[in-house]
Amino acid sequence: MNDSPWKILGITADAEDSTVRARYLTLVREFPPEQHPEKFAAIRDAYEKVRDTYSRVKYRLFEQGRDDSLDALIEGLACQNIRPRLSLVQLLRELPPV
Amino acid sequence: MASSTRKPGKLDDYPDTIRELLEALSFLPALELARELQARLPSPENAALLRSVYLRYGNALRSAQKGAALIGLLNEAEKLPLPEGLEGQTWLASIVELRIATGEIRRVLVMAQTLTDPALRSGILGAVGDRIVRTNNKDKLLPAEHLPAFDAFNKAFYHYSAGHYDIARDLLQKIPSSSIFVEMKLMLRGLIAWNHNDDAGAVENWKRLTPTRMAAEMIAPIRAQIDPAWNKSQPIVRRAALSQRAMNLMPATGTRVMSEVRRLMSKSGEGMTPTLTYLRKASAEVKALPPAVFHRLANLMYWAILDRGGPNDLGEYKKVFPPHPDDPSFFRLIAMVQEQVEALENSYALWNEYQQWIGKTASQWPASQASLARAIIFTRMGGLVETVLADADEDEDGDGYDDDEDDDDLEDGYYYEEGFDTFTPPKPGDKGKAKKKSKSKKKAKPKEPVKQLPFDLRECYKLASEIAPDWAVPSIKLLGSLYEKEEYQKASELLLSMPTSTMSDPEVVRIAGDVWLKLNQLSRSLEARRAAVKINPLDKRLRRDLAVCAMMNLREKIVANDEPAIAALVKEADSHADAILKVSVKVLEAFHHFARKREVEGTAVLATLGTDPVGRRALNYRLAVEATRLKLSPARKKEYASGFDAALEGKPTIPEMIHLLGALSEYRAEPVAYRGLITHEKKILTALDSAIRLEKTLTVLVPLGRMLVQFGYWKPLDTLARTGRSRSSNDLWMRLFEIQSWALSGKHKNREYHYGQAIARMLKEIEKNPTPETSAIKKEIDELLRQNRELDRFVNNPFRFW
Repeated sequence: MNDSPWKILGITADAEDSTVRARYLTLVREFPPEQHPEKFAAIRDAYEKVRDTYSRVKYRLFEQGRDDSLDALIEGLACQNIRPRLSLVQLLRELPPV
Repeated sequence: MASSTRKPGKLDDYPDTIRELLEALSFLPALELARELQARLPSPENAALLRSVYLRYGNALRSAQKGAALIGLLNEAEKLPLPEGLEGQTWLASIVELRIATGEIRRVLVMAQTLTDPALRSGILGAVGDRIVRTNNKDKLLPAEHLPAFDAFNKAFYHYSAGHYDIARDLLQKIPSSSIFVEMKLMLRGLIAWNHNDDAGAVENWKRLTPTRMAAEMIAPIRAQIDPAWNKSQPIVRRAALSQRAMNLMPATGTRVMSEVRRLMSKSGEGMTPTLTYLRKASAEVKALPPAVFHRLANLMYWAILDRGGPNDLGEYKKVFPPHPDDPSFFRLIAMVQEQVEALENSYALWNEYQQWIGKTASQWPASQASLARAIIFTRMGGLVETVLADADEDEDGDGYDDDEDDDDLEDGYYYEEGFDTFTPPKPGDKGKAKKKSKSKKKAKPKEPVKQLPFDLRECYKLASEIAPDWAVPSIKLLGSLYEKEEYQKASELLLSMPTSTMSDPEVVRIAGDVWLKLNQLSRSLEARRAAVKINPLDKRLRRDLAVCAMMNLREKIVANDEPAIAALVKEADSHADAILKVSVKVLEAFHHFARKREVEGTAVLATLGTDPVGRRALNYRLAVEATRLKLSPARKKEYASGFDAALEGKPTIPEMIHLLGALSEYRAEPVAYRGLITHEKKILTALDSAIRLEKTLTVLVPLGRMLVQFGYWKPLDTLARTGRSRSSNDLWMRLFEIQSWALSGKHKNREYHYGQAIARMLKEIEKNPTPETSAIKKEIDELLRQNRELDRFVNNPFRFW
């Protein structure tokens, strides 16, 4: 697990308890455990972390980022944001000679 | 070379010689021979051969960037007669394309107009576009009508590179589909999609590019990364070249750093120092990571220090990463490290610093969360104080040594030898034979004396409750502490001050029921237990507690003769009572009738109890007790007392004793013992002792043993275990009872350790010989470990503190 619970639930960190719950129920209906066991587990785990104020504070104090892993970071780096904006000069420089 | 300059004797041999010369890259001799051949023997074939020589030679000159020679060659080539049809058009297009390399763009554009085939003309125009982009020499080369599109492309690329994607897209709109830069437009649109991780969109654009044109070649290395099918279709050599070009375009600095970090961290036993030292040395690359990745890496290292770091790692961490946003002074991190090494007082002090920091920076937390965070930390501090105090209790002599670590336990005569298969209680005179353990008090590390902490246990919980009144946990912790220390009056006051919401907590109502029962506030206790059952109606233990409490209330009401309340309580107690308790309920109901002189009704109720021989003696006991407590007539009291004595005189069986003990335990659990309990208990235990000694079957003794453990009758348990082992020395149940009768019967030093060791040995034997019987013992032990975390620690990790 690497994404934040907010990202998994698709809500912002300042969402109300009721919003969190509503979103959780929507996602659970969308990803039932029989068909999406891993996704369901991730949603459930994320919900438990942010379901109410106490859970959110406890998560921030003792858990936030603790379950991240280097593998996930490398994977993320490889397939997400390591796409540089290239310049025309760079692209032309890498062309083989005519 | 000598062979290539040699002129063939016959004209028929010229074509082969020309081809050989071309193969040998001897273009000029080949051209001379081809010209001669066409001059001496004109034919369409020889003309085609001559044209092909011109083209091969022209391409070679272009590659060698010999512009002047190329111009001369093309001027000659253009004088050749133009073949008819498509062949002629293709020849012309080839010549024109070679002209592009000479930089004569205006002439090329004029010549392109003579091409009637639209595809060929479009190809030439595109190639012109490529040339312009490649040389960026628009002023001299590009006719005015193409300038706007070229400028739009250049500006679009500039804005794309700067991350202004929308502007880039808008500029690309200005390039019409007929433009010589349309391929560049598609190429850049694909790049923008690629930068948005829209690989499908990128490939969609790039699929429309002409494979031989420059735009397709420019993005080929990137396409190879995201379009596996296309990449697979490329020759192996080209794939390798594309991969190298991709690496040049997108140096994977971040990935390399991460991979190295992963490699260093995967080395076991080296802690975090090599990793953090590497990160410090590579800090320039680390800081160049995308911000989100950089912060994730910082967070990852922060927690890794807790899990596997050393004292110097924080210094290295600080050199690479900025302060952690939620813990800039590392109070939290070090507090947790200190907890792990059991320096609890240091940890306590650091948590205190941390909660103060949160208090000062409360605005960094969403509304009211800072208070809750501080309350959570105060509660954690309370937990630490509890542990510190528990450790201090173990150091009873105050010498700064943990008494569990000395070997005084040998004085008790209880010890284990290596390979000892079971726990062995001492025999008289054994003391001198005891095997000395290697640990000595001199070698033991002295503990720091308990420091004066700013807040005591209860203060921590009180502060937490005050800061976050809506959060029930600190109150519940405080309640638990008061209850554990048997300060029932204070616990009751706390309970009465708790908000209604907290009073619906299952743990709170359970404790409330007990506290008020201990204070003999029966109606309050009953209410609490009703609430507990309402929360968890399937919990048998809660239901039994409720039945017991209802019966105690029932006794009061019987004495007060409150008929409606009596009827309701009988019903309530009966509905929640288990089979054994139901007997007591019926006895109370019957005696209520007797007290009101309703003999027939009372006798009828007693008759419903049946004539179960196993429960007969327990019934006699209950009748004798309740007759006294409910103040029945002296004649009845005497009758039931005699019945109880008679019941014990016969030789009771073990199942009968189990019923009797069940009844006795009910009365023992009451907050105020009835008069005569101790006398009754002595009589029952004497009968129990003889019943155990007479019993021959071990399986019958097992449920009794479990019951004795449950109710804490250690002496009879010891008798049972010894009797059992005298019948079968290897019986695991009897060994378990023997261990428990020692370990649980008093405050022995090193108790949990020895208890844990003995249990661990039993578990090993059970593992070796799994049977239905041993699995039942395993289940019992698992439950035991679940209830006793300290014991569990010694069973599963006995050397952690030794």
